[in-house]
Amino acid sequence: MSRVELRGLSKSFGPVHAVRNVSLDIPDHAFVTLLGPSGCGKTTTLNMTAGLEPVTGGDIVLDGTPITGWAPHERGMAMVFQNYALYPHMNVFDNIGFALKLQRRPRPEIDQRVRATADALELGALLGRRISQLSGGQQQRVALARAMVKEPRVFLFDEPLSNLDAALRTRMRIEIKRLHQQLRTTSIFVTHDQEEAMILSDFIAVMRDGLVVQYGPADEIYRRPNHHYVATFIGKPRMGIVRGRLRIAGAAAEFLAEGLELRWSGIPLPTLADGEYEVLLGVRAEDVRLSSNTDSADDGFDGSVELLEPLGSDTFVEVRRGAHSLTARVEPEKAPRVGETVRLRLPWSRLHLFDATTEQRIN
Amino acid sequence: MARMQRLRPAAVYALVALFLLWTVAPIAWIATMSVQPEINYVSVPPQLRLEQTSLRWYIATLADPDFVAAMQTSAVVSFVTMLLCLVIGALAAYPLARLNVPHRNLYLTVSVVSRMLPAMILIIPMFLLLRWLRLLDSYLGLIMVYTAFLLPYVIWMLKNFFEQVPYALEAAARMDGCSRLGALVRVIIPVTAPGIVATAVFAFIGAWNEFLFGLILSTSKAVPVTVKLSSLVSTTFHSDTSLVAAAGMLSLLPPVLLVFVLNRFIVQGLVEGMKY
Amino acid sequence: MQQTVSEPAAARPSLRQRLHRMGEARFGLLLLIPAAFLLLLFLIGPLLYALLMSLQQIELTISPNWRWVGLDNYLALLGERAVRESLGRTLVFAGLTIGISVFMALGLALLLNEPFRGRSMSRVLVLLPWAVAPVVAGVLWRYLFHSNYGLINALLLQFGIISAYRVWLDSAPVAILIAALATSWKTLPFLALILLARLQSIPEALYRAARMDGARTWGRFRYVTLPHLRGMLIFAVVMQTIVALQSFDLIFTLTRGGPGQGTVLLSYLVFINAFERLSLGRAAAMAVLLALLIVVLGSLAPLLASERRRKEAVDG
Repeated sequence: MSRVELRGLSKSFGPVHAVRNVSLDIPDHAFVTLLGPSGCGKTTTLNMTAGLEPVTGGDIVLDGTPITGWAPHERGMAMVFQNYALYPHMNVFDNIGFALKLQRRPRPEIDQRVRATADALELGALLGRRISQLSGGQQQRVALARAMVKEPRVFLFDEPLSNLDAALRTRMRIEIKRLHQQLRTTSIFVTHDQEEAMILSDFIAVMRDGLVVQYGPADEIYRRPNHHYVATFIGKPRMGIVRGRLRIAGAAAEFLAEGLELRWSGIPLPTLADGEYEVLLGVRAEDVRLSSNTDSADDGFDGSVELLEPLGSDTFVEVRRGAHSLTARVEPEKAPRVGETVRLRLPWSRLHLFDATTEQRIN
Repeated sequence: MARMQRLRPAAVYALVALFLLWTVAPIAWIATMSVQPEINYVSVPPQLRLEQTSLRWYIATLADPDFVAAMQTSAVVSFVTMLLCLVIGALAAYPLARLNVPHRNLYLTVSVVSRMLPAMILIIPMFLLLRWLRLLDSYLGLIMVYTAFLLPYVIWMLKNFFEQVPYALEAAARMDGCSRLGALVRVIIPVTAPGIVATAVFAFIGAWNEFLFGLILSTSKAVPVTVKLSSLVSTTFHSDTSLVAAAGMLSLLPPVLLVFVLNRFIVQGLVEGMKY
Repeated sequence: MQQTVSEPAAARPSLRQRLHRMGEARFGLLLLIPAAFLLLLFLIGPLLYALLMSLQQIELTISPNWRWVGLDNYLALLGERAVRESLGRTLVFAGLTIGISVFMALGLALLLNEPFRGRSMSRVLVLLPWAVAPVVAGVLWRYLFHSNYGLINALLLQFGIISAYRVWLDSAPVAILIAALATSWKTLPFLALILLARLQSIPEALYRAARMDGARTWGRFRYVTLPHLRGMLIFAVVMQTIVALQSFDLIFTLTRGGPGQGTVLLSYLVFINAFERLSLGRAAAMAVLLALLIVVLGSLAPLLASERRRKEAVDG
C-alpha cells in the first residue's frame, strides 16, 4: 500500500513563497500529475515529497506514517530527473545498481536485479558502457532503470521528457504509461505539458503560484474545469474565451458582448439563479458547431474565417467577429475557405461559464 | 579559430620561438651552469666544453646532508599541506557551494579577502604564535602555517568546481541512499576530479615555493629547500657556483615536473581559480 | 522484494539517522568547523594581533616592552623618508612590470590563439615560469645578469654591444629594471592564460561582421578584439600592481635590497623594519597599510573587469 497524502505543504525561500498550501490525496496505484507553468511550485512540491527539500510547513504521510522529516532514502521512493542525472564516472551497470550497493545488498542479488531491470528496458547490451556513450533515449531508460530496480513504493518524475525531441518524447511517454500499467506503482509526475498530463495521468493537480487550483480525475479536469485558469491551461487548442454579460431569466439565457449577441432557450433548470452575471464564457473547439451563414439560430453568430490549421485528421478554423475570435474543429472535407463568412453555434450544454471577477466556475 | 591577424606563418613561428626562448633562457642558463665546471662559464667569453658536462655537482649536492634534509622537509611539508588543504578545503567548500548555511555570504567574503593577505602581515604574530605552541622549527608548525595560508585559495577553487556539478546529480545520489556527506564523497568528488587535481597541484606548488614563513619560522631542523637555496646563494664565498646551480635546479624540479605532467589541469585551475 | 519504509526507532534515532536528518544549516556549519578553526587560529588571530601590534611602539633593540601609541606609527610612516622613497621605487617597479608584462602577455595570448604546429607543446613550456618559486626566479635572474658569469654579459659581449662585462646589479635603476623583467618573466604565464581564455570566448561571428563592414586587420583588432579584452587587461594591471606591492622573495635573492637601499620595495621595507631594526610596531603598521591596499585593489579588480563586460553586453 503506497498512499501518499500531502497535508498543507508549504515552502518558503526567505520572502518567496514557492509553495503556499498544497493538500493532495494520492491513492495507492494512482498516476498523479502536478501540472503547471514554471514557477508554480510543482517541482518544489515533488522535492519536498522526496525529502530533497526541507518542508517549511505541513506534513507528508505515506500509508498513514508521517515521513516529513525523513531522509530521502528512508522513504522508499525513487526519482527520475529531467536531465537524467546519471553518474558520469560510472558505467550503466553501476549507475543502475548504485542504490543497491549503498544498501549493501549481496553481489549476486545486485547482479540479478540490475540485469533483470536492464533487460526489461532493453538495456542489457549496454551495461558495460559509459554514460557519455549513450544516446538521449538510452540515457533516459537508464534513469528509469535506476529508479525501477529499487522497487520503490512511489515513483517520482521531475519533467523527465522535457529534454527529448518530439518523436522520442512520444515514445517514452508510451513507455512510461506501459510501465505504470504493468507495475501499478503509485507515481507522481511533474510537467508543464498538459497533453502529457492528459495522456499519462489518472489524476491531475493543476497548480499556479504555489497553490493547487484544481485536483481531480484527468477527464473531469478536462470536461469540468472549475477555474478559468484550468480551463485555458488544459486542452489543445486552447479553450476559446469571450468576456461579456450573461442574463438568466427562467429557462432563457442571453449573452451580450461587444458586437455579439447569443440567446438560448429551454435551458435545463436549475443551472443558475435568475439575474445578471459578468462572465467569461468558454467553449472548446470541438464543441463549437460550424454551419453556413444561412443558419440563423440564436445561439450562434456570424464571423469571417481568418485562419485554417489543417492537422490532417481535423482542421481548426479560426473565426473572427469584431474583437472576438473563436476556434472550431471540423472535418477537413467540410472546412470553409479563408475569408468566407460562417456561423458558429455554441450549444448551452457545452458552455463553461466563469465569474469574470473570481474566475471560478459558475455552472 | 578566428584568424584575426593575417600574419604570415613564418612571423608567427618566429615570435613564438622568441617567447619560448625568453621563457626557457633563465632556466636553461642555470641548467648549463649546473653541469659545467665554473671555470668554463666564468671566463670571458664563456668556454663551454661539451665533453666536460658532468652530473657530479648534482651528486655532490645530494650528498650534502643539509640539502637533502631541506629537500625532505619541503617534500613532506608540501605533500601533507596539500592533503590537509584538500580534505579540510573540500569539507568547507561543499557547504559554501551548496548548502543554505546562515551567514554564508560572510564566510564567502572572508575567504575571498583572506586569499589576498600578504604573508608579510602575518609573519611576526605567526612567529610568536608558533613559539608559544612550541612549534618553531618543526614540520608540524610549517604544515599548520602553510595549510592555513593556502586554505582560502583552495576553498575558493574547490567551491567553484563543486558549483559546476548539476544539482540533480547530488539529488539522485541522495535518492539512492547517500547521505549528504556520502554524496560529496561518492559523486561530487569523482565528478570534479580534474578540478581537484588542479587544486592539489596548486596547493603543492604553493607550499613548495613558500619562502618567507620558512625563512623566519625555521632555523635548522625544518628548513625548506627554498630557504636553503637562498642561503647558498648569499654566502659570498662559496666553493663552487656549479653546486649552487645544481641546488637551484633541484629545488625547481618538482614543480616543473608537475607542470609537464599535469599541465592541462593547471591551465583549468588557473582560469577557474581567478574567477570571483 | 519491495523496499520497506523504515520506521524510525521508537526511542532515540541512531547517530547515523540523526546525521541524515540534520538540517542543512547545522550540517553545513559542522563541515565548516575544521577550516574555521584552522583559519581563526593561524590566520585571523595573527591578523588581529598584527593590528594590535601596529598600535604599539615596539623597539626591541631598545627595550622588550610594548607601549601603546595609538595611530602614531601610521602617522609617522607618512612622514618617513625611507617610506616615501620605497613607495616611489615600488611605483616605478610596478609601472615597469605592468608595461612589460601586460604587453608581452597580450602578444603571447594573440600568438597562442593562432593555430600552429607545436602549439600544445608551446603552451606547456610557457607555463614553466609559473611553477618556479619567486625565490628561485630571483636566483635565476641574478645569475643571468651576473657580473662574472652571467649569460647577458656573455651574449652582449659576443654581439659586440659591450666591450667588457658590466656589473648590472650595482646600479639601482638598472636593478629595478631587472627586477621588473624577472617579475614579468614569472607572471607572464598567468596573464597570458587569462587573456587567452578571454580571447577564445570572442565569437567568430563578430570578426566576420567586421570584415563585412570593411575592417581590416588593425581595424578588427581595435574594434572587436580590444573592447572584449579591456576588462581582462584592467584586471591584469591590478593583479600586477598587487604583485609589485607584495614582492619580497624575488628581491631577497636578486639584490637583497641593494645596491644600498636601491631596490628596497615596500614589502622589503617591512621586512627590514621587522627583522633588522626590530621595530615591530612600525613594521606592523606598514604591513597593515600594505595589506589594506592589496585587499582593496584585489576586491576592485573583478568589479572593474566585469563592469566592462556588462557594458559590452549592452553595447554589443
